[in-house]
Amino acid sequence: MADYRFTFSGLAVAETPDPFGVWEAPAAEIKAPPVPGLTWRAELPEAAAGLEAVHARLATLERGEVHLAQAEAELRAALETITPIAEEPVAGATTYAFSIPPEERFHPQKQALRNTLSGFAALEAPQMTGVVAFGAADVFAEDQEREGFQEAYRRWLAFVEQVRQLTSFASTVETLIAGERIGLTRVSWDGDFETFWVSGLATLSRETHRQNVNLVLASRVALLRLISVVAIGAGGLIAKSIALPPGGQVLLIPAAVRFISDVMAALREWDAAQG
Amino acid sequence: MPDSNVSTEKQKDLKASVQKFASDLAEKVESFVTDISELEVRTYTITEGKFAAVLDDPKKKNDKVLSGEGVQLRAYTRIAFDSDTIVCLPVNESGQIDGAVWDMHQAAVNQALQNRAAMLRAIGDAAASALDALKKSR
Repeated sequence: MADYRFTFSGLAVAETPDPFGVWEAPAAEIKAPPVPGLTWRAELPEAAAGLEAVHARLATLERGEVHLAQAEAELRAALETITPIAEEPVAGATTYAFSIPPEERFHPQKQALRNTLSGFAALEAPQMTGVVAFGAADVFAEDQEREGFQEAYRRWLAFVEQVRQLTSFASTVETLIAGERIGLTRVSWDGDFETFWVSGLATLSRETHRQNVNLVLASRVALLRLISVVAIGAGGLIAKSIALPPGGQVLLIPAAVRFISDVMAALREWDAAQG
Repeated sequence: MPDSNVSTEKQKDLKASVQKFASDLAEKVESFVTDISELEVRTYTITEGKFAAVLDDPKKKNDKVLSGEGVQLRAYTRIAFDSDTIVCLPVNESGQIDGAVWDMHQAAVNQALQNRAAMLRAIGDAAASALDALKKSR
């Protein structure tokens, strides 16, 4: 399968892995074309096998969408476990417990979420009248909290850049067979299409490019769906009245980004392990 | 610089970044709804080996209709929001409709229509969720 490559390139997206596991960053030596925008490129050895490879990627994307739904459900389940605790170790404080049993399927991802939330709470604490703690019975090491926050921050910046590019630039879809471009479609953000075909192209090659365009269009919609899930998840965290200062709750959106992408990556790994 | 200072700075940046993200997204929805008042689909044929000369030329990036050696606009469809439609059909040298190009163009029009509907739904949902989360955070 080394002959197939499905790459996604544009301005500063190389470090951002595709959360659906369909597209990868191009090889470092391949330069992005000088025209601004996103380029989605399928490099295939020949048309028939290439068409199968595109169909396989469409199936991967569908599985990714199932993973996204599962990640959303896991975030909801995690929200259920966040509960205010009755005792107030500090007068006037709101303390939340967020307990994760070790046998929990997504224990590492939920632990990371808890560390991120604790990191946010710790950073905000000096501006607050009360004290906020997650898992009051536990003491979080400072470096864990900081690490959680910084990782969420890094993922957030990558996510924002991906969304910005997705919603600002045209997408160029290229299909290469045996190293030659056989079809190219430009899809503007608002949906206008321009398609360029090599004159006299065989039907199978045309179908391969058409399906590649379908794959890109579905990938764009899936990324927009990811935004919805992240925002809904963050809204759920906010609704838990996590006691951050006014405006501070907005920081929970990056926490949701990290959690969703962590769970999706874990599900993809399990899928791959099961063959 | 100690890590804690870095984190505090990042935290401030992050808050600004999240707020900007949500407001940008809302702006995008507004412009998307305005921009989809019509849909244009163009189908070109291009001589083998001429892709790079025509498509990678930054000087041509703002050209509404691309031209150049070996490139030919073969079919065009414009669909207005009220469904008024203009279609320019591809013909071959003898004046007959070029079936292969027409099939490719029709397939592209169908993809464009389906894509517009899916994007409209997805961007609407995304913006609504982001704005809802932002509202809750205030």
